[in-house]
Amino acid sequence: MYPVLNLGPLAIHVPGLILLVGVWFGLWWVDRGAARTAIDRDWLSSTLLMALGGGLIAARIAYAIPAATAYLNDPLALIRPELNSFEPAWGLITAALVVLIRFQRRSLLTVDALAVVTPGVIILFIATALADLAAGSHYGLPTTLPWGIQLWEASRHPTQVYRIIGCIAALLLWERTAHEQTAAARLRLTIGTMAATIIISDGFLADSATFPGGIRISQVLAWVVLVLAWPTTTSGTAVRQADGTAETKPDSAI
Amino acid sequence: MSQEQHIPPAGSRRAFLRTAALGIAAFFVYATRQQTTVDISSGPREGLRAPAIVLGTLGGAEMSLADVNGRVVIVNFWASWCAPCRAEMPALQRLYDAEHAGGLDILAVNSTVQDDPAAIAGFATEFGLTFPILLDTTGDAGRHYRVQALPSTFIIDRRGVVRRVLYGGPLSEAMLRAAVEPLLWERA
Repeated sequence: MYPVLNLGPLAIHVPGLILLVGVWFGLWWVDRGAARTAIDRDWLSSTLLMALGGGLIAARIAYAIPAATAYLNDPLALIRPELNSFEPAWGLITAALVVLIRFQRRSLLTVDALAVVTPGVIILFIATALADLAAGSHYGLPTTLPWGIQLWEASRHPTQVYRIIGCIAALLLWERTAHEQTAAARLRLTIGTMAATIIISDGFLADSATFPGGIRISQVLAWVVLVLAWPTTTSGTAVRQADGTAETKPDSAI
Repeated sequence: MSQEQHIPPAGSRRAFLRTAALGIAAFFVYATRQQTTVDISSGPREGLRAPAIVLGTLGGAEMSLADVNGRVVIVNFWASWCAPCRAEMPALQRLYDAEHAGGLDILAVNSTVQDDPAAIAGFATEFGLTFPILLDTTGDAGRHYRVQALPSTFIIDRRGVVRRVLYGGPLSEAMLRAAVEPLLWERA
């Protein structure tokens, strides 16, 4: 756990550095994917940078709103480079909205286009989990399991590592199915894997935002995403051939 | 010649598996719901009980974190040579003046082990600090809070649980207010 790295007189905020590298790597990966499509790479880069900037602004405003009076008395505090005063959830929502609106304006709101952005999102999740590991944040419940990590006076579930493993699995699935499945199927598979990862890893968090009764908000949201990503199968009727083999045909075809 | 039969379609098996898997996932979400009790471990991270602090003050008395139990506490680690520490002290003092009566305390822990003891009193006078200044002469408090850079600030709620960890500075008064005000409204 290295939240701060001291290099001579410099104190480097390691989680922030990891996030910065993660953003850069994610953008590079998305650009690499866009090169294989008809999407204008310059336009895509500017879209992602706008999403990044919009996300940062929204995250700062969302942090400031509950203490609006204090920020009105000192408006410059809104633009101070304080790493601690952001609401990341609102930043992510805004960044996603910026991407969706820009894609829609170019009539690019298609599965193929959204698929280009997907690896970048997975890499951002990995970077976030690595940053949490470096900071010792989002730590797990105490455990006696042999792979527990010693943190905060106890052997704990390495929840950050669970998330990293799940995200890497999603990224590998994404890459390995590139030539085998349609973009829609790959997108569903990846989103489903990410949702399952959050359901499992967050189940072992020691401290998280919950609904009344202790049900974790992140797990419920991930479960809803899992339901949406896993489509119901089309109904059909099996047709047995003379040679004994069976073929399923959709009802509409019969 | 083909013959149509109503054999169980593969789709229905898949639908069954889907329902079962989603049911298991829903059960897992319920089974792993968060217990309402606070994690009893202590540590300098959000959600953990704040590590104990017992130190001598600049005035010569002894003070501990337990002395301000039931109040919202900002523990700020600083040193007189640290420029961001100097820059954020007026904001801390203004916040203390405004919110002390409402339940806020500030413990300014000087990292005496790496500071000039003669400069500490002058620093307090220069900024007109009225909150307690604790002297970490051995560095133990800094070690317990895993302080690796100055300033480092920990915001502790009325139950003694760490709610925010803020590395670096200078922190603005607005930023601190946004973090502290919701905690002042909470009950112990």
